[in-house]
Amino acid sequence: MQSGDLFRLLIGLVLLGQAANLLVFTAAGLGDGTPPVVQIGERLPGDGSGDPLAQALVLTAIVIGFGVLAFCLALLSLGRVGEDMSNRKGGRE
Amino acid sequence: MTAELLLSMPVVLPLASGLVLLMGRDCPVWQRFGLVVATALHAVAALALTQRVIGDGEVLEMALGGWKAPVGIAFRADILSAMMVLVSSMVALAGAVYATAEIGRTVWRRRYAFFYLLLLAGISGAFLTGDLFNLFVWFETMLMASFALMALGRRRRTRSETIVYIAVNALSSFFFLAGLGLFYGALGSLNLTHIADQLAMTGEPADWTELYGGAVLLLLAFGTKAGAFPLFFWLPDSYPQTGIATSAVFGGLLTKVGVYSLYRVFGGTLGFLSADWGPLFLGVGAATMIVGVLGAASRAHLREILSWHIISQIGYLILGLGIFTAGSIGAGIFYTVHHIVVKANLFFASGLIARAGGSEKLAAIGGLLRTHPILAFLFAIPALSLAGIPPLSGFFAKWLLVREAFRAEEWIWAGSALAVGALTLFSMAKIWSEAFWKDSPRRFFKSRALPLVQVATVFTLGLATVTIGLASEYLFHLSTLAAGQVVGRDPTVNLPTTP
Repeated sequence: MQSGDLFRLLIGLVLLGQAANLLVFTAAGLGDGTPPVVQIGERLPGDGSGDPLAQALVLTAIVIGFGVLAFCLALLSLGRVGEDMSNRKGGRE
Repeated sequence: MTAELLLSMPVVLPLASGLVLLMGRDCPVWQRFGLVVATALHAVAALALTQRVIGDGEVLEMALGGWKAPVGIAFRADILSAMMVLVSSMVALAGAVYATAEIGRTVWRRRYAFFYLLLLAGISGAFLTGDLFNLFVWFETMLMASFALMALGRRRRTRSETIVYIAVNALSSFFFLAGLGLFYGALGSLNLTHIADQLAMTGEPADWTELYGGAVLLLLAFGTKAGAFPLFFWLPDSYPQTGIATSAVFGGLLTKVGVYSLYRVFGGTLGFLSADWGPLFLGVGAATMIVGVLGAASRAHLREILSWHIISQIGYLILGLGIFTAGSIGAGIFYTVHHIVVKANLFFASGLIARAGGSEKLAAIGGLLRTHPILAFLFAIPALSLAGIPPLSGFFAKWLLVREAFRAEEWIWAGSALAVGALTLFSMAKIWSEAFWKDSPRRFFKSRALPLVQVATVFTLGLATVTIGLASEYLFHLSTLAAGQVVGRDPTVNLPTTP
C-alpha cells in the first residue's frame, strides 16, 4: 500500500468510526431535547430526555477511537523513520 | 480472598507490572526478568481464580462501583472464563520465558514488555467481562497492544501486511460497536446475563429487526477476530511477520478470544438464535476448516503453514457451536483449550527449527533429525496432537467433536471434519519430512546452539499436551459443565437440535 492510499484509508476508518458512534447514539432513542440531568429533589432525569447511558457509551467509544487513530498514526510514522534510505531514493514517496 | 480481588487481579496485575516495566528499559536483564515475574504473578492470580470457580463451584460476579445491571459494568467468571484465563496465563508465561532468549536489546528498549503485558491484560479482561461494551473496550486494548507488538522489532518500513491487519481489525471494531448499539436499542441493556434473563422472561424483544441487525454485526466482528471464513485473509499474512514469541501468543490466544466471544454471545446469551442459525455456523465452520487446511497444504514456509492451520482449527470450534448441543459446545471448549496449548507450542518449536536450520523456508532446511534429534521429538508431540493422533490431546478433542456431530446426525460435517484431520496430518508430515528427514540442502552449514530455556518451554508445553490427553476425561467433564453454564441450562439435558 502506498502512502496516499494509507491516508485515505485512515480517513475512511475515521468516517466509519463516526458512523458507528452515530448509530449507537440514535439506536438508543433520541429524546425531545430535554437534558438528561437530574433536578434537585428528583431521582431520575426528566421525561423526554435522551438516554444518558448511551451517551456515555458513545463518549467512551469516541475517546477509544481517537486513541486508536493516534496510535496508528504514530506507529505508521515510526515505521517510516526506520525506513531504508536506499528505498526512499528510488521509491515513489 | 474476596470475589472482587480474584476477578480484578488477572487484569490489574499485568497492567500494573507493565507500568513498572516502563521504567528501566535500557536494562534488558531487568526487562526480561520483570516480564517473566509479571506473567508468573498473573498465572498465580489465574490459579487462585480457577481454584475458587472450579474447586468451589462458584460463579464470581462483581459490579464496578456497586451499580447493578443494566447500568453498572459487570465482571463475571464462570468455569469457561476461569479455564480460558488459566490457559492464557500458561501460554503468556511460556512466551515470556521464550522471549528472554529471543528478543534483543533494541526491542526491549521499545517497551516490548509493556505491550506484552497490555495484551495479556486485554485478553484476561475479555474473558472476565460480563458486559458487551466492556468486551469492546478489551478488544480495543488487545488490538492496540497487538499493533505495537507487530510493529516492534521491524527493521524496514511498515509492511503492507501490518496495515491490512490494522485496517481489518479496526473495521471489525466498528462492526462490534454498531452491533452493540443496536442491541442496546433493542434490549436496553448490554449485560450478557441480564439480556439472557430478559429474553427468557419476556420471550422476545421489542424490536426484532434491531436485534437481528445487531446480531449480524456482532457475528461479523467476532468472525473477523476469530479468522472465520470468509474473513480470515488478514491472518496468515500478518502472523509470520512477527517475532516467534509474539506469534505464538497471537496464534494461541488472539483468535481464541474471538471464538470465546462467539461461544459466549451466540452460544449463551443469544442461544435461541443459534438454534436457527446452526446451519450458517456449520457451513462457515466447514468452509473455514477446508480453506485453512488447503491454504496450509500450499505453503512451504514454517509459520505460514502454522498460521493457515490456525484458521482450519477455528473451523472445528465454529462447527462445535453450529451443532449446538450441550455436548458439542463442551467438546468445542475442550478443543479450544487443547488448541491454545498446541498451537502456541508449534510456533515456539518452529522458532527452534528455524534457528537450528537457519531459515523458515522448508526448501532451505533439512537433516535436522540427525543433528537435533531432541528437537524432532519435541516438534512431533504438538504436531501429532494437532493432527489428532492418540493418545495426545488433539485426538480426544477431534473425537469428542466428531462424536457429537454423529450424534446430531450431521453426517456431512462430521465427514469433512475427519477429512480435514487427514489433511492436517499431511501438512505436519510435510514439515517433518522437509525439516527433519531430507538431507540439508546446504553442505557446510553450521547450525547455532538452541537456547536451553526455549527448549525447556517447548518441552513443558509438550508435557501439558500429553497431560491434557491423559486427563481428557476430567477436562471434558469440566468443559461440559462450562458449556452448561454458558448455555444456561442443565448440562445433562440436550438442547433442541437445529430444525
